[in-house]
Amino acid sequence: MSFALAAAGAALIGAGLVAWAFPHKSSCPAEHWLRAAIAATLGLGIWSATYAASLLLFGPVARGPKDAVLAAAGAALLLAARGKSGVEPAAPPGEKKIIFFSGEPAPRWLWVAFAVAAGAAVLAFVHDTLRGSDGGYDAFMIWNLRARFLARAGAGFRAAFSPQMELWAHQDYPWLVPGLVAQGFLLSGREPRAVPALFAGTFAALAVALPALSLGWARGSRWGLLGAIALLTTPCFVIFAAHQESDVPLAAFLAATAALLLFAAERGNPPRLLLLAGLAAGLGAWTKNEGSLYAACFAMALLARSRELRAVGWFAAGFLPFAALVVGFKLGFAPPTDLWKFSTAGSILSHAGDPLRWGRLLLLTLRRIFFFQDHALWVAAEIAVLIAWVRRLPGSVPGTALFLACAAFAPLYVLQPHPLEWLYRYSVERIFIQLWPAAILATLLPLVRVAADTPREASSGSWPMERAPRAP
Amino acid sequence: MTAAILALAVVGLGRMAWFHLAVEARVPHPPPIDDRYRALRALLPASGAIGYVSDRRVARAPAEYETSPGTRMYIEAQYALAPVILRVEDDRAALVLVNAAAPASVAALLDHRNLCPVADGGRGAMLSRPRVR
Repeated sequence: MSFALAAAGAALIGAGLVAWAFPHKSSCPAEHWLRAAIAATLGLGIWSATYAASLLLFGPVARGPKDAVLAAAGAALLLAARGKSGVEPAAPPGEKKIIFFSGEPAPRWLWVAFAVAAGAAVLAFVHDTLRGSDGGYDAFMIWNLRARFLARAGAGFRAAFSPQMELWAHQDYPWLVPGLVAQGFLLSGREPRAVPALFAGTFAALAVALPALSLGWARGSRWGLLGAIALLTTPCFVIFAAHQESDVPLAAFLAATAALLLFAAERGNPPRLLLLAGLAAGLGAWTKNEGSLYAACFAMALLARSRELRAVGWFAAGFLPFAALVVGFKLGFAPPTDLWKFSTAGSILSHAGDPLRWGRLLLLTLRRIFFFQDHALWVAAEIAVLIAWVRRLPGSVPGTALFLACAAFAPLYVLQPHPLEWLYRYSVERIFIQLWPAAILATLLPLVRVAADTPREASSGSWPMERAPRAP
Repeated sequence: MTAAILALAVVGLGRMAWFHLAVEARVPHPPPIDDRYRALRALLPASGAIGYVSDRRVARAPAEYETSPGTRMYIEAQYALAPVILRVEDDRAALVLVNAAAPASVAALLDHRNLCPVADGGRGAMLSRPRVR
């Protein structure tokens, strides 16, 4: 019963929010499945974030009622959305209607290539999951450790954030993934190793599906498949997923944010879609600390590209509940983050003014671009494409946000108190994998226009996009 | 562009195949972490904190990580024994986990820390308590 209620809570709240934000019927199968992927991503995230909020506010007894409230709220949203569905009305005369095309279909051989890439990724995931039954280092050091505390400690759950543990437990980190795994443990009554692996696999699938379906919807299935292949054949993607780290779920929330902003731009930034985009960004903030930075970058990019304070306001309104959760947790429960604990005004100033430290960061980054072990040649290719083509195209909200995020990491690396090489070595691939699915979406969308095999009917490549004149 | 993406994908798949089929195959599977601590966990209180000592140094700050070979063992023990909290270098707690990488060094650790054994979990993991002076 409690399992059914939990499943209903997660599924209905995700589906209800998407039905509420998209009052019209899907225009094509890719859009239909994209909405489903967004619903699943939001549903899982909200199921975990509300668990955290209810646990911190009311203790473990609130888990069941929380699921009932989620299911009821989701059902109410679904009911409210019924009857509204229909064909999307045409834009009023004179209003600029932004149009996507579900253009180029994929040839059969490309589907075969996708199947090979997906099959290889699934095999690698299963192989690594069976090989390391406790997940990767971060999984048992941080995420599954936290899940065990939450599931085992009952009313003493605050022990999960105890400063008596060494800093390696990262007691101050947000805990969306541990919240999912802990609830899985509590529902099963045991601690099956399949629970964290199942959530890891689900978020990996969503991280692939969200950019691929967005591309498929906006540019045709050919480009959706190419986007999926690019992600599936990035060597470290499957490893991060199999290691049950929070970077892949954060990547999925970023990709959902980017996809929702794409939807919103196409429809003239309606408040509900912006609210949902803010909500997805907020769930990213509750997944890892970097998520708060990315949310701020998306908000700034939205302001820069749309020039609409109202749009940023709706985005911020969606983000706000999770910002409150993050701030409440950090101020009320978590010990200070090690970045602050080990930093002094003197160390920050001396690092900022140390040209050697900036130079070392530059060298480390240049070396990492060609880090064959984790990236194959994807990062080098991405940078070449950005320099050669994308920089000449009009900017997009996700593209601008990702650029801002990358720029923000430079001072963060230089000013932080830990040894630069050590921190860089253990973190830069994580940051890459967090950003990579959204980067694939933000790069391929405008790039289609300048590609040699551009479909005859193409958009302007800007974001939002307008239908380009048909080629003669 | 399709050809370029597929060429990059082939490189990526090749790298994945090399890593998962050739490199990983040479490294033995890590045993489940809980195996080492299962017997001792049953003897621990349901909550609270115990001490933790080891024959390998545990890093207390990121700068010490590279020179502290006992850090991973501490992390694994904490993972296995949660929600009991392990306090590193606290050998005056009511219960102290002695976690030695070399089982032969347990006796020396007990003696050096003035601890007496409570339960032996095997493979260098032992529950102990401070000797009454």
